[in-house]
Amino acid sequence: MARIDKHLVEWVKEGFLSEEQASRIKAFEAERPTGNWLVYGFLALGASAIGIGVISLVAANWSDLPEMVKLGSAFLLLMGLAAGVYVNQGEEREIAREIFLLLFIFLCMATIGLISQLFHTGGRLTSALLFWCAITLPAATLSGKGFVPKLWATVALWSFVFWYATSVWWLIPLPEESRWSSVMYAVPLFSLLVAMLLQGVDRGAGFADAFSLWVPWTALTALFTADIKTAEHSGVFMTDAGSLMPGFALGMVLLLLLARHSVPGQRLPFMGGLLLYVIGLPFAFMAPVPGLVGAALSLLILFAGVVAFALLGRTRMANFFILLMGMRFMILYFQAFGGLALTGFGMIVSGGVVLGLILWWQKNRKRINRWLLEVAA
Amino acid sequence: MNGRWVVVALLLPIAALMGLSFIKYHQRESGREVRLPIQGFDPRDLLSGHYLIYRIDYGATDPCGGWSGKEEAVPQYHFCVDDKIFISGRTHKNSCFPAIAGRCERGRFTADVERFFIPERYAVPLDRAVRNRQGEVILSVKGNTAVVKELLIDGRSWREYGETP
Repeated sequence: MARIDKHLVEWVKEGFLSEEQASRIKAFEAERPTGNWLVYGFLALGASAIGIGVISLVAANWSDLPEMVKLGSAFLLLMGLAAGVYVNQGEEREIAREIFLLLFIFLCMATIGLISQLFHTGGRLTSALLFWCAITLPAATLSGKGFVPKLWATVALWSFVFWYATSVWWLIPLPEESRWSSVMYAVPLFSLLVAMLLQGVDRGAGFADAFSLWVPWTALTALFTADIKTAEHSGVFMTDAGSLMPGFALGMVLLLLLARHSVPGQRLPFMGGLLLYVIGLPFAFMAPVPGLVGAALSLLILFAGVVAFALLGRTRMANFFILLMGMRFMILYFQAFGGLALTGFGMIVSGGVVLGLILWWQKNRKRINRWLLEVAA
Repeated sequence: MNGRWVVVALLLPIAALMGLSFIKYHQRESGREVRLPIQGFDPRDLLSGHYLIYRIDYGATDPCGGWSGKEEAVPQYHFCVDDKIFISGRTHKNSCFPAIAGRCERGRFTADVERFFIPERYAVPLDRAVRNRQGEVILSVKGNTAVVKELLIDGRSWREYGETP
């Protein structure tokens, strides 16, 4: 039974809907064009494979063709694909438009590669990718499905990150390790900021989703790296204060945005979690912090992630973060006690504490939510 | 979706790429030709994919030899084509033209002209020729910008050299 059918049965049982209303809702949903995501997924895969194949052909060198013929063919093909996107406007032709659009942006990348090949251009890959992002952004907004904006946003984010990590530092000379710490710390904050700014922009939602997708994974990478470094080098400075300034500045901007624009019931938990990350991570990277303090910080940040995803209704991610907390607890006990028996005893005690907390939370969560709303208001 | 926006969104990348092609073509055809010997720097493999990667012998001491690359800001230099000397990027204010602008990278002066696309079937003979110091590159230099125009082996075009049995 589809999910909505299950819900409708429950709602009718609870008296929220009549049988007739439930039938009308079912009929309406059945007639709605679902977009068939599975078909779309395979079509996107096929189109991506074609795009990658074209790029590979470019890389194989068409040595026997004159350069004008190669360039001319590429531009003719681009115009043909552009025409394909243009003539397939309208909801009923969405899939065809998406395929043409995907092929179009892939061919733009292939053409950049072709120009680089014909004119033997040097320079960094990140520069080529950023150029591609700049010229294909308007085209990416034509997508209705989300795959093209996700692809574009992923390339844009990582091109910018690698460009930032390798090119900007001639302005601020820093050791290489400091640069990468700075980048790791700042990436999730940058992704989150871009996602929040794009939410309010017309046709920006697809891009905002793509940027926000990267936030938890890049934050976890930074957290684990800081955790490992803290555990390995307790009592030793890791990096320079200056290298963490860009991320810290991003964090402050985010706190301001959250203070002004987030939903009242979510504001405090989100700001609290963000503060933990923005201040806790540099503390773990820089201060002479004992390994156990770093572990406690990790657990607190992971807990903030659990709360954030729970408030956003993303239960799978919340559960995943809970799992990570459990694993970190285990590692903590190994760090603290070093032996299986004591670790086992510690785990039983802390498991009991966790269960007790959860039971207490279940009993009192309505009261706590009301309090949070009062405080936020 | 606004029809005009669709047209602009689709034409913008095509126009940008055409513009880029024209700029590169113009840079290559309108600059002054400068011929410089080349040599490989990695005895194991000069070929990165289908690129021939080489080091240019400017006929002057490389200013980047002593740069550690770890903690300092990346130095910028210009190679004055007529005087055959390197001058610091900071002091160069229209003091020599044409010049090849570059930076220090991995202890060497790099001007983004150190690679050349070649078809796979020419890889072996060209690889051997560059190792034997038979190679030269023709750069087209205009203002401070240099682009690669041609690769010569023993004074002949690389293609002619590669096709000679």
